[in-house]
Amino acid sequence: MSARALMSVALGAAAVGGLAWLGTVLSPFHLRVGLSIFLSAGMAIGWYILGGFARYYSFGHTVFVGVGAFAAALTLQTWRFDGWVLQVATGVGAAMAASAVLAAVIALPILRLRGHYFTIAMLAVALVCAEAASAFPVFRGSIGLTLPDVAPPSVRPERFFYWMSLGAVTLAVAVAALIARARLGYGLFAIREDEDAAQMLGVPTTRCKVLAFLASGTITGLMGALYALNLGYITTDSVFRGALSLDMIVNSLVGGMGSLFGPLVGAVVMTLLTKVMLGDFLEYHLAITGLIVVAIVFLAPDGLLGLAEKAWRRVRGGNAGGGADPR
Amino acid sequence: MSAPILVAEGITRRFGQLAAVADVSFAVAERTVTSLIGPNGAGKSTIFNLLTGYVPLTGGRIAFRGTRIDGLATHRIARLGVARAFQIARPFRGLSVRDNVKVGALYGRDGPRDVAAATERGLRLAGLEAVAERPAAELTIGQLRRMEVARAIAARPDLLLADEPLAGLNPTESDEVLASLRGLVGEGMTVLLVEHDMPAVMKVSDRVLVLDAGRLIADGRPEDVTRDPRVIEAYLGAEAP
Amino acid sequence: MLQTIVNGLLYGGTLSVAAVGFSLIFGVMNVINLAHGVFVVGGAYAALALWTGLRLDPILALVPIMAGGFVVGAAYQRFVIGPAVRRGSPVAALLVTFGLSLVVVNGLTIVYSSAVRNVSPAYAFFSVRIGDVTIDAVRAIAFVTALVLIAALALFLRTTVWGRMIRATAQSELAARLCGVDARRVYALTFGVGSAFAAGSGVLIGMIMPFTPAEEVQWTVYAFVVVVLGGVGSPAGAMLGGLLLGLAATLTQTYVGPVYTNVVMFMILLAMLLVRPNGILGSAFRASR
Repeated sequence: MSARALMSVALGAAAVGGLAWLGTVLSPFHLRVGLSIFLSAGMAIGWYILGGFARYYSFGHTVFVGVGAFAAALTLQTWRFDGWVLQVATGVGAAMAASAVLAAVIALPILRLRGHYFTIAMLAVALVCAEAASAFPVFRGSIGLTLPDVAPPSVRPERFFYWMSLGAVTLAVAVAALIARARLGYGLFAIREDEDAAQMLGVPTTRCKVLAFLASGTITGLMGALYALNLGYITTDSVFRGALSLDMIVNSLVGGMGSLFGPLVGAVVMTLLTKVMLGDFLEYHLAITGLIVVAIVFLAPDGLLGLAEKAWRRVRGGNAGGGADPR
Repeated sequence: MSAPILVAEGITRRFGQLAAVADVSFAVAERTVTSLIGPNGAGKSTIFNLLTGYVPLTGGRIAFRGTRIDGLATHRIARLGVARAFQIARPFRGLSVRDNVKVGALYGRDGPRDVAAATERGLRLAGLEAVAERPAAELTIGQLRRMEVARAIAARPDLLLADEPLAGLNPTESDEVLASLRGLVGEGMTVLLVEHDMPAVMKVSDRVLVLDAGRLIADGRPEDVTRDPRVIEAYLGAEAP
Repeated sequence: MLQTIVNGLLYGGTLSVAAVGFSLIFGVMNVINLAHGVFVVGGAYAALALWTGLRLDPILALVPIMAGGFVVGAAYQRFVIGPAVRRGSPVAALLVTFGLSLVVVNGLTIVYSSAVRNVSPAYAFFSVRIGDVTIDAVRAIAFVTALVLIAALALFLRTTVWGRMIRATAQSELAARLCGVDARRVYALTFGVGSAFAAGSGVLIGMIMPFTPAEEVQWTVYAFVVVVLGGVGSPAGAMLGGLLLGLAATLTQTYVGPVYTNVVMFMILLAMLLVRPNGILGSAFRASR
């Protein structure tokens, strides 16, 4: 491992440690804010593994949140274990397995599509799965499913889920960072830039996309399970939500599509903005998010990190006495 | 001359009524520079597309090192050791020059071995070390062309298909690219070249194949081919001495 | 069986109108309008408002609603989609259409709640029996209206100057521009016409079935399926695709179960995209694979 990689791992570990420690001191309200940030950051990272690395924009990623949530709820209702470790492991394991299976089944046909076609096909996948969850009595999506309270009595539920989701988002970032540094990551970047050229250079584009889709779906499913466990009660409408798909995209976009920090920064900013500052206007949440998308596309196409980078370059370029940017 | 690395037998490609390539057979000897020339529309680029599996054959067969490769997926052919440098450079614009070359190395023949060394070698042979950290979007046309070659050779191919690597280059840049192509042969590679710049072709090639209207009309040493009356008529025409 | 086929065809007519605008916009501009379903649902709510407010018959309401759809659609293209395409990429345009559709759905939900609505004019309960087949008057009227609308669009594209400009731009923007066509105006016009038809189909849908704001996604996806079935850009293709989809939906509903309708539609979509990405009639599907 290079010195730089070691450094980033150390910094990441320190950040996670710091956030975990914060969990012991924060008020219940702030714990809930943190939890929301982690959940949406984790989903955004899950989306980013396909959407950011390979620029295959899924507009139906909520399907994995929904499938993960339902898998967790249904298994935990069927097998009633004692002890939170076993319960969480079962729920999360079932969620990840179900999402991975779904991803594996639809990957080959759907990833043959490019651009708009992939985007809208994912929208259709989400629509169909949501309908199935409502329509088939086994899933009980229209009545709703109750999940057991998995938090141990000795820990406040907010704190418990704060730590759980912190753990999950750490895992998500670690997986994404590993992919980005691995051969697979370079294959995905090549696909993002020019899929035909990538293929002619020997990149097995189909396999790369399928692997990314699997990782992406599984991580999103994991976040879906935690989302459901934290809610305690789910229906089709609460977990198969177009708004969730949108949030994943918007978080990545607001932060910037250039690096893994993008979805993280975006999740922090957007959660604080929509849930905390505009918390009193919850019914306008969708409209606000929609307007932010429009604003970002027009004003900051490279996201907040892109803006920051540009500003930084301008400052530095000014000091050096000349524009560094050849454009 | 050594054993052929690539053999095409009667390869044909029809687009509807039009036969872009009709019953063309040739062999490329190992460790040579073989050039494919012919007027515009003669079928040179189609042959490259057929060899790399980007366009399927409608007739004939292609063997690389004795193995049939027609019908294989593009990336499989690339993995066997056939690399292609595009006529119009297709850089991964958002990646640095080094990462562009690294993709070639990572997915080259035999998978990822000595990726760092292969990347550096590609950069060095193409003379791109100075700009390695720059985004590919910022390169000049000549640099992009060299990056195509670097990306292709980082894949450690046995056979490099170079599609008009000199087009749009100034004489100095042309000479640099030609020298690096000869250098590749020195390192054990085989080069199949499509090029319009006749003096360059004559200078660099061991053997020349001439196409006209989808058919092979001549095949031989450069000096013999230029004297072939059919070639003069079909291709060199009035320009011929 | 006959009854099911008749119902399927009647439904298909409405689907065709709902899709033809999407098809036109996609064919001419290569933009997938994810807000298309919003125009459909918006048309239905506009019909509801005119019906409850002014007792205006939905068929008469088509005229102001389609005119309104045209103006809004053209403005939308001019001030939002066009700049988004120029500044970013087709994906940026896709995101913008998605974002704005959420704004509108949110607005509709706040005004009308997410409850199921419908528009029922006086003749909504009449029906005619021919042999064993019962035809609801309202469905028949919707179907005939749909045929008239599609035929009118086909005539417009074929015979008028503006129609020819639209078709020329679809073939090649550059060539059209070189011949003196103002591509920007053509785009606004196309978007306006497409949106007008979406809003019009919303009126028909409001007459024959209940609707909610959140259904917009479904209508966008249906429009896409119809386009994939029939091919991009032509009214005839949209008609064919719509009728086929209507048949498939009704047959599934009757013989397999209503639960499976969308599943079957989705299977058709995937199968078509993989097997024949140019649609049954075939057309330029540029970016598929």
